[in-house]
This record gives sequence, C-alpha cells and structure tokens, in this order.
Amino acid sequence: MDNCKPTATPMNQKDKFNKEDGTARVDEEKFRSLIGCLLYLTATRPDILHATSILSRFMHFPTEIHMRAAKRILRYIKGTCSFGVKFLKCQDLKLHGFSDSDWGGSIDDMRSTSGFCFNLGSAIFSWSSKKQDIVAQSTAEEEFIAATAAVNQALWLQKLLRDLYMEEEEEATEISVDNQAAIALSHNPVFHGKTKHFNIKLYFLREVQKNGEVKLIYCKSENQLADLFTKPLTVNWFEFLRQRIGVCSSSSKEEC
Amino acid sequence: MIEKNCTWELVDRPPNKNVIGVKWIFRTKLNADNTINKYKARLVVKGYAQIYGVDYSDTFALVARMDTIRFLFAVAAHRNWKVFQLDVKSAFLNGILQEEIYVEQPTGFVTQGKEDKVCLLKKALYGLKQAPRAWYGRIDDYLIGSGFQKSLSEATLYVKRINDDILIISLYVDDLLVTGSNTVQVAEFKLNMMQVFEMTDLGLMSVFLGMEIMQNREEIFIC
Repeated sequence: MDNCKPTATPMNQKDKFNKEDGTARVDEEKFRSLIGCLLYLTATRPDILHATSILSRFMHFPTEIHMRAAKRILRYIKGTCSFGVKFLKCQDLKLHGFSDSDWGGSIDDMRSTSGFCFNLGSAIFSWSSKKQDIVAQSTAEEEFIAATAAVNQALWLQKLLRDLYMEEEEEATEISVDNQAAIALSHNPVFHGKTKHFNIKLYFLREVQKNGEVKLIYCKSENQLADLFTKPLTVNWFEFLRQRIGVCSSSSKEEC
Repeated sequence: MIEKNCTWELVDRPPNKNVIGVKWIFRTKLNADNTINKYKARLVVKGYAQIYGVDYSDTFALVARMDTIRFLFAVAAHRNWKVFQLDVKSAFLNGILQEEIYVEQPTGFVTQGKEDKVCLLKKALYGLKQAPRAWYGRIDDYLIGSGFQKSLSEATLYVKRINDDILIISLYVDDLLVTGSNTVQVAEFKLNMMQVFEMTDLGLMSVFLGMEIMQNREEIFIC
C-alpha cells in the first residue's frame, strides 16, 4: 500500500455494499483490524467516518469488494495525511447542529443511516453516523429518526455548556434539517395517516421544541454539513463540505 | 515508589483469607526512534485470583468521551486558552482500597526473617481488579475537596470558578487535561496537584491518545 495512488474521496459515489455480493470471502481478522484502526482515526478525521462506518457493518462477513473499499479509504488517507480538525476563534460561541439521513441505504435490511454533527461557530467537534435501528417508511420518518438522535446529543451538549458556565442566553439550539415535511410534522399533527406509527419520537420532538430547548430549522441541501455522514459524495461536493466542517491540512493557511 | 507510597504492611498470614500472588513485569520503553528510553519494572497482582464480592465489587473507571475533549478544544480555541496536560506517575498506586486484600511478598524483596508474613494492601496495585476504580475515587475526592464541581452530565469533567475566571479539568484515567481563563490559576493548580500526587508536567498538550495537537494563537489543530 506504500506506493498506492491517492484518491480524492474515501468512497466511490456509486458504491453500495451488501452482505452476499458473490465475491470471495477475505481474512476476517485482517479486515477487522483494519476497520478498527480506521474507526480509531475517526476521532480526528470525521471525513472518513461515513465510509468507515458503512464498512464496519460487514465485520462478520467481509468479501473482496469490502476489502477493496477499505483499501480505497487508505488511499484517500494517503493523499490527506496531514489533515485534521482546526478549531478557530469564532464570532460567538453558539451550538449549532446538523442532522441528515439517507434513504434506505442499507440493501440488506433497507434501513437508513442517520448522521449528525455539531459545531460551536468554527469546526465541528461532535459527529456521528449510524444505521437506524428501525425501518423508516418515508423520507420524513427517517429524517425524524435522525433529528431525534441529534436532539438527544444537543440536550447533552447543552448541559455540558451549562456546567462550564458558558451558555450565553437561554436560547434554543438550532438544528438544521433539510426536509420540510419533517419540520412541519414536528410542529403540528397533520398527515395523520402517514405518521400514526412513529409516535414516541414525534411527541418527543414536539415537546423539546415547545420547551424552547431545541429548534429544528430548514436548511437547503447545499448547507447541510451532515450530508457528509450519510452518503458518498462527488469530489467537488465532498471537498466543499470537508472544508466547511473544519477539516483541512495542518499547513494550509486558509480559513476553515 | 511502593515504599514511598506506604502501599502495604507486613502481617501474619490470615487463616481463612485469599492471599493473592504477585509478579514482576519488566518492560523496555522505546523512544520514537527506537532507542531505549527506560527500563520499567512494575509489580502486578494476579487479579484473576480475586473473587467477585469478596475481594472486589466495583471495577470500572471513567474516561472522558472524545466529544467532550474536542468540545474543550473548540472552547479553548475560541477563548484563546491554552490546554495543558499532566500525567500522574503510577496513578493506580494512589488508589485507596476499601477492601481487605492480602498479597504474597514479591520475589527479590522478601523481608529477611519475616518470610512467612504476607502483605496487607493499603493502596491499590496494578492488576487488582478494582485498581482503576480506587484511583478514580481518590482523584475525585481530591478535586471535589479542592472546590471543583463535577459536571452532572460528564463525570470526568470538573469545573472551578474563581471570581470571574474558570478552571476546567478533564480526566482520562491518569492523564489530566487542564485549561482555563487564567494561566496563573492553571499554574497554581498544577503546583497543588504535584504536592499531593507524583506527577509529570507535560506542559502544553501536544500528544494525547495518539492524537497530535497543535496550539497556536486563537487556533487549535488536531490530527
């Protein structure tokens, strides 16, 4: 792998993985230890989080295709060895969250992936990408599940800020969601027929918004930083978002 | 180190108690360029011989979440604070044991004329199941005792407010991450800590859990 050619993104945009893809099995131990290393690296490299977490779903059944994809992440890292997260002084210290989800991305069980991240004005400092544990039946529902996970994290981070005496005013934390239907639903109980099955999360989101702890706001897909944690992207888009979340080379002088 | 710490006292072998064996572990610590840094000898207890409920109960120690650590970096960069790192030497030997535990005398250090006696532990040793827990209890007591407030939502985060300044400690087993708005207070805290525990002052934080940290004016970079 020393002489490999670097790639621009950690994952091919067209790649979809499933359990039995017809290729030969590879050494599980090697695959697991490689993914384990990559997972550890995600502590400072949120840009590989999505690709790594997708592959970690096949720890028990790695095939050649999965191994090839894992090696692609290595090739990506090779080209971005000096990259890391850069925290800067920002205008005001305000917690802002982003929540997003893909749509039935896991072929084996048709579940969606939630992703969220939080920043305090500059680079993101908290991130997650996780397969949802229930099957969502509509795009609004999966955005809902993702938003709930983000809200949980937001509530915890608010407590941390409060413990450090850092919250400015009692202001609701804004979480950007790029699905209008999900936001509309979280405010008022319409479309009953399509939402009757996701009650608990729905009521939770309504409650925290009513209490003024969190506010879901709409953002256009191009401002959705959490996109990076739910789907593979084109090179341009990936590089743009990567810079927006504050991941850059240690030597670069540009503002992140 | 063990003697300095009053780790144990020699007592007669108790009739119906579990006496646990100990052994020496020797390790050579290398520098980054593979030259020899130091030789380490560590006395460990054969913790597998301990019985749950008799010799130990709680075993867990808390570590800080990665989110919290990065959170502190984000705050520190914004406020232009510096983050310092302290390391407690042989941290686990500082833990005070709640349970009554006997171990054999270590080979090479058997007291002459008292070969039949065994050691009653007062402080924890490496390898004991409850050693991490005992250490956490000790440092927790110390920090609370010196006026820190423990965060309810993150048990490894301690905050102290002095006038308008703020001092923040994050605990990662034996590594302490110290930051705050007033550098004098940070220095004072370090001094106080060093009087109680044997510590290494690693200065500005630069390497932590395999993470490299570069601190500049109003900017912190991790990779």
